[in-house]
Amino acid sequence: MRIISRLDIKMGTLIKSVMYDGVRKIGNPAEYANDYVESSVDELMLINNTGSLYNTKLDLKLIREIRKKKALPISAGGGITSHEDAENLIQSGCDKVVINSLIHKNVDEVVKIIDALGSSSVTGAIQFEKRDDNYVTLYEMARESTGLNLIDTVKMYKDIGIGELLITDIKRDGCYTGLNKEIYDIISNFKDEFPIILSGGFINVEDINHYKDILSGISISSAFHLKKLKVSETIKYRNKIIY
Amino acid sequence: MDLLNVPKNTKEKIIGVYKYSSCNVNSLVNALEMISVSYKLSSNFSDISNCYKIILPGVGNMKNISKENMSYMSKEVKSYILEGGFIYGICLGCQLLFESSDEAGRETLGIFKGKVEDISNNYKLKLNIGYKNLNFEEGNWQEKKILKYFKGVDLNTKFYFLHRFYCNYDDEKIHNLKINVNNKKMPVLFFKGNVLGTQFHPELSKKSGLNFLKNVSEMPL
Repeated sequence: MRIISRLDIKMGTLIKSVMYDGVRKIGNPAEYANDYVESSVDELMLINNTGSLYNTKLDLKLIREIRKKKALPISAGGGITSHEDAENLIQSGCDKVVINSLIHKNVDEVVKIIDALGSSSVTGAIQFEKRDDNYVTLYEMARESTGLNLIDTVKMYKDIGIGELLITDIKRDGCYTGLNKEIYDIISNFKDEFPIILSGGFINVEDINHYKDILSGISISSAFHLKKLKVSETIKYRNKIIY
Repeated sequence: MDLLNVPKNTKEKIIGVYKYSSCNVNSLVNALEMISVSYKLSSNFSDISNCYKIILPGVGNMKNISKENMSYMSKEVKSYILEGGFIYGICLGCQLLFESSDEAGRETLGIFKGKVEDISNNYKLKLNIGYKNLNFEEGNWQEKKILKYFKGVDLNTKFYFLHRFYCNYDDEKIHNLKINVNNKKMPVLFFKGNVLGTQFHPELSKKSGLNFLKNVSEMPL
């Protein structure tokens, strides 16, 4: 299971939201990325998480700077509206792109991206929240509803040829509640269809153990940024129980 | 083609990186710079055919390599090997070395015997992603020939994989290493004559990957 450090970036600054809202400034994303890589994190994910909402792009110069002197996979996304955007990220040194809103707004363009990059380089992001007894999914920084539930969203992503899933529990984002355990069975049902990364609320390393059989990765942001958890200790725990 | 009967490599001691089609070379070039390996990058094979080793990088979709480009590449790469040149294919670049690919739906370079198939045909898996251990216990491989590329690498460390197709080789003389995928073995490293292919990305495999890449780049033939 990969331990993935997610860095949300807005106008060149590392930020962190709480429940996809109330963004606070953290610092210089390149410095944080360097620290995480020094601590042997498995993968970096650079997300312009207000990108679709405000129609902004990730700064390619910053991506190139972060790429330097790092021998690990980097994915990036947020605000991708065309296959040119996706190509630009790859040409700037990313190995994968992460897409959510565009899937719900212009699926044909997403198919073009998958054709150009290969499905293994396209991660489909899903933002979900529990409403009554339903898991609804959202996009544009959790402002718009897709009209689908979690299971149907996963099926739709499968149909269009998405390679990997990033599933985020909006209500746990930035809240240190621990990962959502209620959706274990849903994830388990799709574990042979997709590599799945879960995010939202990670704080206890024991969650790695809970999910070790079905998750391909866990995405962690605030817990690392705000030093609630050390990357090196998280990796050490993972190595102890999985390898 | 006879990979085992080629002349001595007398080419210039520099690594060529072949930017074919739309493949992404960024991470690889970045890694070569990290390990201070001099390289020459070109999308024109004849610009680098004087390099003593050439890397075929690999990120992208096989479908994007046109039929014309594939047959041009096949001709160039084969004559380079017959001049004693060394080829190292990474991921898609490794898959290209075989005879055909289900992803492209047609013939590929045809240097190694075998074909590239969808992982889900044989393994309970759609996409192989993440860091995996190589299995040094099994497989048809000769220590001396392969282990030199792992000099200084802890054999228990993991290498990074990201692929939806795998190389189903069909030649007993290809030395290979495998990984375990859902209790089955998948071949991921191939070596014969002066041709090496790895399904894993050394350039994305942290320190061990860089060490491997440096060995491949600098180890005398």
